[in-house]
Amino acid sequence: MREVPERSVSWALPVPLGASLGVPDAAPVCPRRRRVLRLAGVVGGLSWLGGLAGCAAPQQPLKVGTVLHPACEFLFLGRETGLLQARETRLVELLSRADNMRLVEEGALDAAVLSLDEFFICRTQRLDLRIVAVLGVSDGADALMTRPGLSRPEQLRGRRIAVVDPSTGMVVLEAALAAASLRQDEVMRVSVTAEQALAQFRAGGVDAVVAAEPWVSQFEALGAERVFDSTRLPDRLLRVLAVRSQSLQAQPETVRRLVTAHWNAVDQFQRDPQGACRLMAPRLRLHHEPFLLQEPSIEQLALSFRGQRLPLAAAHRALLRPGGPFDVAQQALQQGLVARRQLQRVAPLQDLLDTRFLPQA
Amino acid sequence: MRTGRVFTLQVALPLALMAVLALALVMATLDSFYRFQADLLREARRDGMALASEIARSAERASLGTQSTLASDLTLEAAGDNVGLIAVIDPDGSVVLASRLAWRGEPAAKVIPDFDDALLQRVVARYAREVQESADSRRVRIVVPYDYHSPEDRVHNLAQGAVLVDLDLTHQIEASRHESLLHLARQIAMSAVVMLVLAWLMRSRVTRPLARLEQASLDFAAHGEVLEPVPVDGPREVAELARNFNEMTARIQQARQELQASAARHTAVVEAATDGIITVDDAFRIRMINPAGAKMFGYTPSDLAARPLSELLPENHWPLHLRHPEHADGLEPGPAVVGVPSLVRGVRSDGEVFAADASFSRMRTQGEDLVTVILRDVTQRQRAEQAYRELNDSLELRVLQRTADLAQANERLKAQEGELREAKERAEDASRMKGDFLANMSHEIRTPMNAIVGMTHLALRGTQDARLLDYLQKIQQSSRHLLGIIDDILDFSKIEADKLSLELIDFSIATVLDNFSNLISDRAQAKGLELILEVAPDVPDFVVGDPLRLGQVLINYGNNAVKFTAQGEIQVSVSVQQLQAEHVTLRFAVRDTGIGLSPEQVGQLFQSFQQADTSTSRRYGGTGLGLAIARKLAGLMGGEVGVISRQGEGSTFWFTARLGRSLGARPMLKPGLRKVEARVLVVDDNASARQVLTEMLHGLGFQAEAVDGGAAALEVLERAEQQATPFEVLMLDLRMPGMDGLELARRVRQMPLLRQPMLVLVTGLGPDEVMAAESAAEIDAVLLKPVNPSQLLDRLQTMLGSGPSAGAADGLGAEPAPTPADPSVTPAQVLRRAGTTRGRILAVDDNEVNLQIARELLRGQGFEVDVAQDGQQALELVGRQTYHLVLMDMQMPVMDGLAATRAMRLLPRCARLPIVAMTANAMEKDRQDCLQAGMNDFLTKPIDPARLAAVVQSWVVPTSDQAADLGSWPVVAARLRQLLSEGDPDVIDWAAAQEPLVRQVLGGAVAEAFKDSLRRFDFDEALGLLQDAGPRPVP
Repeated sequence: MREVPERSVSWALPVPLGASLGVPDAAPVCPRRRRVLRLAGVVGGLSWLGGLAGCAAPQQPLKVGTVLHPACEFLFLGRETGLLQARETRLVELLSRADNMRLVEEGALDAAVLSLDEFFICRTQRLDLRIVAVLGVSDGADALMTRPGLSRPEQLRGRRIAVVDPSTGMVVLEAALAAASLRQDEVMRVSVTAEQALAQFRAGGVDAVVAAEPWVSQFEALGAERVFDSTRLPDRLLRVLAVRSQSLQAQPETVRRLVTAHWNAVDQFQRDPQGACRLMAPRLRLHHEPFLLQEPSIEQLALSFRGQRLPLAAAHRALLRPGGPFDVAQQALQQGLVARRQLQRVAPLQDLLDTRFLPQA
Repeated sequence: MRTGRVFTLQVALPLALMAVLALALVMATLDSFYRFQADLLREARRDGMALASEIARSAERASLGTQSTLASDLTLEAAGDNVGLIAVIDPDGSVVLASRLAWRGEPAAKVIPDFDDALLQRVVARYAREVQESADSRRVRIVVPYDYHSPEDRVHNLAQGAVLVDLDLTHQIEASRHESLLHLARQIAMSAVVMLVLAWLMRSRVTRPLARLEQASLDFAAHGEVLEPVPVDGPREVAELARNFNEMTARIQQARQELQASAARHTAVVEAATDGIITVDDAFRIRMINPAGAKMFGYTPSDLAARPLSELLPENHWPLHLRHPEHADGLEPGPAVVGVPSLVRGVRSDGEVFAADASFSRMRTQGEDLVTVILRDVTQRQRAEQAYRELNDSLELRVLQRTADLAQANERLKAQEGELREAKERAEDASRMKGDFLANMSHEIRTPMNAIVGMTHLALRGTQDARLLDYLQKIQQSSRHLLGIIDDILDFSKIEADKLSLELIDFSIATVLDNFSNLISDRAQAKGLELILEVAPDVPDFVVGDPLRLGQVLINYGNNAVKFTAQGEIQVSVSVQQLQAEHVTLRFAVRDTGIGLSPEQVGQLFQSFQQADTSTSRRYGGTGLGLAIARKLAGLMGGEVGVISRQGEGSTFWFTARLGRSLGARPMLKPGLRKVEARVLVVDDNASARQVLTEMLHGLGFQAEAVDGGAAALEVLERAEQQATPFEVLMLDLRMPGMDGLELARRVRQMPLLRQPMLVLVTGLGPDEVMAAESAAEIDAVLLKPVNPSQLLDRLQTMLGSGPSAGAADGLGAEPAPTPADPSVTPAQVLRRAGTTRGRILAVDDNEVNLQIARELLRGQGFEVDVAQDGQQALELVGRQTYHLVLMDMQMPVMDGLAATRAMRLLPRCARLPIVAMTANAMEKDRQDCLQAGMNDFLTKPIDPARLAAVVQSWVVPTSDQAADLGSWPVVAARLRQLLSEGDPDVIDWAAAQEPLVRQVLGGAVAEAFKDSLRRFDFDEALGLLQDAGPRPVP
C-alpha cells in the first residue's frame, strides 16, 4: 500500500501508452510490428491501471489493547526500541481488564492481550478471535497468600479471602480450594482492588488474598504465606495475544510484525536485561505505583516478572499442539462454559488458533 | 502515410481526447482529495476540541477527588481512531494522566513529543483553548485549559492545568488519497477503453478508407487509370470523398477515351476527305497533308512532309499572307475560326496550274501557330458554272417578270380583303352598339319619365291651386302618353333586336283579365261603352307563360277597341283552341262595335309603323307600333294574330298563345265545387252582356235566365212565382233604357212574392254611383263590371250563405287603400272601410308646425292622430290610450325622444309599440342611437308624405292579423309587375301598402332594394328584383 504514492508519480506519463505515439523512424516501421507495439502499449497501460486498482488500501494502524501485565511489557519494549511502528501498530494502554475486554467486544480494538479465560469470555460474545501467540505463562506469579498461621489450605474454611483479579484469581482460588477439598461456599470471597486487598490484609479484614506479582511480593513482605500458586497449574494461566480474524485477514503482515516484535523484544530482554529494564522502567513503575513512594531500583521493578514465564516461539509448537497443555486447558474451559450455557458448543482447537506467525519447524 | 508526419488521425485524436480527459479527471480527483482533507481537518479540530473539553471537565472533577475514573476514561478515549495522544498536565507542567501510562508524573516537556511550553503557558495564562496544526496538516494538537484544584499542602505557581489532545489524520488522509486514486484509475481505464474503441473506429472507418483512397490516387497518378473503384464506405465525408474520387477518375477515363475516339474520327475524316487539307506551321512548312490534298498536287503525302508550302503554289499566286507572313495575323486565331475563303491557284507536280477554293483557319496548339488550308479543286466546276450561268441569265429574266405580275395581283386582293373586313367589323360594331343603345335607352328614358310622372303625381296631391292642378294634370297626361309611346318604341326595338325574352311563370288567366278590365274599364265607362268578359269554362285558371306580355297584347287590343269605338260594347273572350298534354293554346279575342276596317286596311295592319289610315292616325293618335308589337309578342308566345272586320261593323282582333299547362292548373270554373243551385235571372239590355253573364252562371252551375229589360223581368218573375220556380237572385244592370236597375229593384221589392230574391246590381260606374246604389235599401250587393266568374261565384255563394263566409274579406284588412286590383273586394266594402279608422297614431314633437303636417297627412290616410309636445306628455298618453304607432321627435324639452322611448319600452303595454323617430339629423350615428334606444324606424325631416305613408303603412298593423297573406302574393306580384311595366307612379303607394307581404316574400335585403329603386323611380330595376324573386305558387 505504500507503493501508491510512488506510483502516483509514474502515472503522469505512462510509458506503455507513450510507446503507441510512434516515434518517428527514418525507415518505415513494419506495419505488423507497429501494430504489435501499439497493442503492447495498450495492454501495458491497462495493466498499470488494473494494478493501481488492485493495490490494497492504506490500513488503519492495528490497535492492540493492553493492560498492566508483565507479559504485555515486551510489546512496549518493542515499541521503545522501534520494532513496532506507530503507523502500523498502536498499543492502547488500558487500566482495567474490563475496559480491555469491553473495547475488544465493541470492535474498537483489533487485537488484545487477554488471559485465556478472558479470551473465552470474549468468544462467548460471538467474537471471532484467534490466538496468534502466547505472551506469558503464569508460573508462580499468581498465588494464594494467607496470614501467617494459616499455612494449610484446609484452614481457610470459613475465612475471608480477597480476590484481586476476578478471572485469573478465581482460577487460582478454585484450584487451591479443590486441592484443599474445600467447596467454594465454604469460604467468604471478597472482590477488591490490589490496594484495597493490601490495606485490608494489613488491617486484618481478610485472611487470605489471591493476587499476582508484583503484589504477591508485597504480601510476602507483609509476612503472608504462599499457600498455593500457579506453579500448581502449569500452562493454565496464559496471557495470549488474540487478534480478530477480520484483522488477521486484512493485515496479516502487521500481525506478523507485531508477534515478531514481541519475541525480538523478549530476545533483547534476555540479551540485555538491565538495558531493557531501563527502557521498560517507566511502565514497570506502574505495576508498583500504588505503593511506590520512592524511586525504585531496576531490580525492584523487575520483580514484576517474578513467576512469569515467556514461551518463546519455539516453545509454542509443543504448547499449542493438539492434546498439549493448551489444548487440555482450553477444552476444560470451554466445557465449563458450555455447561454454564455461556457457550453453545466447544470449538475445535484449530478454530482458536492462527499459527501462521509462528516460526516454521 | 509516408510524409514524415508522425501523428495519424487514428492515434492523435483519441490520444488528445484521452489526455484532455485524463487531465480533467486528475484535476477533479486532486480537487476532491484536497477538499476532503480540509474537511477532515476541520472535523478533527471540532472532534478534538470536544474531546479535550470533555477530558478537561473530567480533569477538573478528578483534581477534586480520585483520578481513577478520569484515568480509565482517558485510556478509553485514547483508543479512538484518530487520537494520537491525550495528556492531562498540571500547573507545574507535569503529566497527571496520559494515554501513555508511563508518562504520569513526568514533565510534559520531556515526554510529549514536539511539546511547546510557550503554547501551554499561553493556554494557561489566557485560559483560552489553542489549536495547532502540523505543517503537513496531518496532525492537530488541541490544548484546553482546566481549573486545577491543588491539594493544600502543595504550592503551585499556576492555578490552571491543561489537557492536550493530539489527533493524527494520517491514516484517513492516506485512505482518502488511495480511494481517490483508485477512482481515478478506474475512470482512466474506462476512458482508455473508450478511446481504444474510438481509435479502432477511426482506423476502420476513416484512416483505412483514406489510405485506400491515397493509394488509388497514387496509382492513378502513376498509371493513369484505376483498376477498380475505391470502396465507398466510412463516415459520410469519407464516403463522399471516395465517391467523388471514383466519379472523377471515371470521368477522366471517359474523357480520355472520347478524346482518343474523337482524334481517330478526326483523322479518318481528314484521310477520307475529298478536299485537300494542308496544315502549315508559321514558317509555312507543311506539317500535315491528307491523301486527297497530295493527290491534288500529284504527290503522295509522304512526299510533301515538311516541305515548304510555296512549292505547291505558282509564285505569282501566292496569297498575300504567304508572301508577307506578317499579314497572316489578319486571320483570327482559334481552331474554329475559318479565315477568308478565297480562290487560289496551285501547281501540280507536272507543272499544271489549277484553281482551287481555299479556306484558311488558324489555330494555336501547344504554343505553335498553325494554319490549315482546305482546298477544293474547282477546275471542273468552274467550267460547268460558266455554262449554267449563261442559261440562267435568260431564265431569270422571265421568272422575274412573272413574279412581279403575280405580286401585283396579290396586293390588290389583299387590299380588297382588308376593306371587306373593315366593313364587316363596322357593321358588327353598329349592330352591337344598337343593341347596347337599346338596352341603355330602356333604362335611361324610362327612369326620368317615371320620375316626371311620379313627381307630378306627388305634386298633384300637394297642391290645391286649381290652375296648378290643371297644369300638373296635363303634364301627367302628356307624360303618360309619352311614356306609352316610348315603351312601344322600346318594346318594338327590343323585339327587332331579339332582345326580348319571355318569362315562364305560373300565372292566373283571371288575374290577367282583371288587370285588363281594371285598365280598360275606366276608359270604356268614360266613353259609355260596355265591357264584357267571356271566358270559356274549359280555360284553365293557371297556365305557365309570361302574364305581362299576354296582358300587353290584350291591353293593346283593348285600347284600340276603346279608341276606335264611339258607342256599343267591347267584348273580350277567351277560349281553348287546342289542348295538349303539356300545352294549351288559348285564343283571345277582343270584339268592338267601332268603325271597322276595310279589307285594304286589314291588309296593312300588324305591319310596323303602319296604321289603318294616316288620317286615323292624326285623329286617334298612336305610333302605329301597337299591333306590330302584338304580332311579335304573339309570335314569341307561339301564336298568331288576326283581325276580322268589316267597315262600319266593328272589328274582332284576336291572337293565340301557346302556354304551358300549370301542374296546379284547373279550369277557372270547376262545377264540382259549387254547392248552390239557385235560379238566377239576368236583366240586361245589352245582349252580349246578357249572354256572357248567363253562360257564366250556367258554367257555375246556376240555372240562369236572361231578359233584356225591366218589364220583361217583372213578367218572368211573376210567371216563375206562379210556376213555383222562383228566382233566388236577380242580377240587374244599373243602366237600362226605360226602367233602370234601381227602379226595377224597387218594383221587385213591391211585388207580392212568396220569397224575395236577392238583388245584385251590376254596374260599370264610378264610386259615386255605386255608393248611391248601395245605399239604396233594395239592393243586396253591387258587382262591378266586367264581371268575372270567380267574383261572381264568390258573391253569390256569400249571399246565398253557402260559400266562403262574408268574413273571408277580413284577410283584406291589411289592405289599407282601395285596391281595384283585388278581385274579391267589392267597392262597397272598400268604401265602407275607407270610412273607418285605420289606427291611432301618437305624434310627438315640440314644433307645432310639424305636428300639424303630421296630423293632416295621417288623417288624410285614415288614421286618428293624437299629439304630444314632449316626451313626458307622450309617456302619459301611451299610459292611457292604446296606439298603433308613435312618431317621435328626437330633440324636445322636458324629455327628449330617446329618453321617452326608453321609458316607454319599460312599460309592458308598450313593449311592442312601433316607435318611429322623426328627426332632422340624418347621420348614421343618430340612426344607431334611435335603434339602440328601442325605436323601430327612422324618418328624416322635412317629412316626405310618401315616405311617411310608407313607414306608417309598414308599421301600423291592425292587431287582428299581422301575418301577411302569402296566398295573395301572385295577385300582388302580378299587379306590381303591371304597374311597374306601365310606369304608373301609383306603384309606390301600392308597394308601400303591400310592404309586409313584399318583405316576407322577397326577404329584407331585396325588399329594401326594391323600395329604394321605387324611391328612385327606377321601375326597371324594381321589376327586375321582382322577377328575380320569382313567382310564388299559390298555396
